[in-house]
Amino acid sequence: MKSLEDIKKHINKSDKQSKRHAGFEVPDGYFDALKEELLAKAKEETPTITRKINWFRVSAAAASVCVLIACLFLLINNSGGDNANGSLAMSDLSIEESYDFILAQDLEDISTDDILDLENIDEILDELEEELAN
Amino acid sequence: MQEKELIKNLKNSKSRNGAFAELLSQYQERVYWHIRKIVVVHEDADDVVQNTFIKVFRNIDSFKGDSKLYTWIFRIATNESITFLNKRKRKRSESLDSEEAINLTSQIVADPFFSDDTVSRNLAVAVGQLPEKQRLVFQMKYFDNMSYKDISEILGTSEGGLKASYHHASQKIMEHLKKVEFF
Repeated sequence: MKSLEDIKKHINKSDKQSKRHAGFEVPDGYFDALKEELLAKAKEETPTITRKINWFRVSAAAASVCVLIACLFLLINNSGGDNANGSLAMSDLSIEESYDFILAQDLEDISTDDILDLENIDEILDELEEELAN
Repeated sequence: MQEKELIKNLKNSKSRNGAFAELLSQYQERVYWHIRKIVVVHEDADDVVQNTFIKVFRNIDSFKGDSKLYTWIFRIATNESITFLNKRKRKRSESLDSEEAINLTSQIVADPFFSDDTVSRNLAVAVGQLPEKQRLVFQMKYFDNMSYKDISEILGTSEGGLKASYHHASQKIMEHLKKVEFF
């Protein structure tokens, strides 16, 4: 033997004669048994795979979740009545509330539109007059 | 059966089992020998080859076809083999405080399923003493005649790096064989 190539030629020749590979051997009939065993294992695996790709179930579940989310969204948005966004218009205030609101604010912060928006502006002005007179 | 058709049938749940039988006919021996050269002992190779093909069967849907089917299978086989060796190393280092215990060379010498041909045995012993990466590259190139491109896809290493590994491995093997006065 003079080189790795010489060794390779020798091993290949030797392997061919004895159904070996690089000197390694297997028990008789091993590959037939291996194939049978692997096919049996694959059959056991098959039901799991079928369940995994049951797209009808996946779609049905996804649709149910979407409907649930939509219902929740509508329920939350409708539960607040006209004031769904959580803010109050001046016209929604009672007289007492409007009065308290005006007293609590700096007059510069209240716009003319806000005043005109008050439903009972005349009554509020009367009460303010009385308050100032006292 | 052509590779494209085989992959298509493997991905179809109705034809999957038949295609898997075809896949085994085409690849099981090559994959077994590849694994056997890495893990050495037949019983271990048997476990690893079974895990490999079950993984192939389970994950065939994730095979995108970016590489050849055989390099994809060999990559799984190589990873499974290395994982097995690492587990075995950990187990042995816990129970035995000896590097000899994990020496692949001693396993080759003791293997009842190894040829009594002296040339094969001397070479296997020399290969068994190489570092893991060089051993893998040498085995795939020297024994399996794989191209550097395919080995690169399997090991995820550049072709230049593989050529260097193969060169170093060959030199070490020659040195070992000279030491045992084989040349």
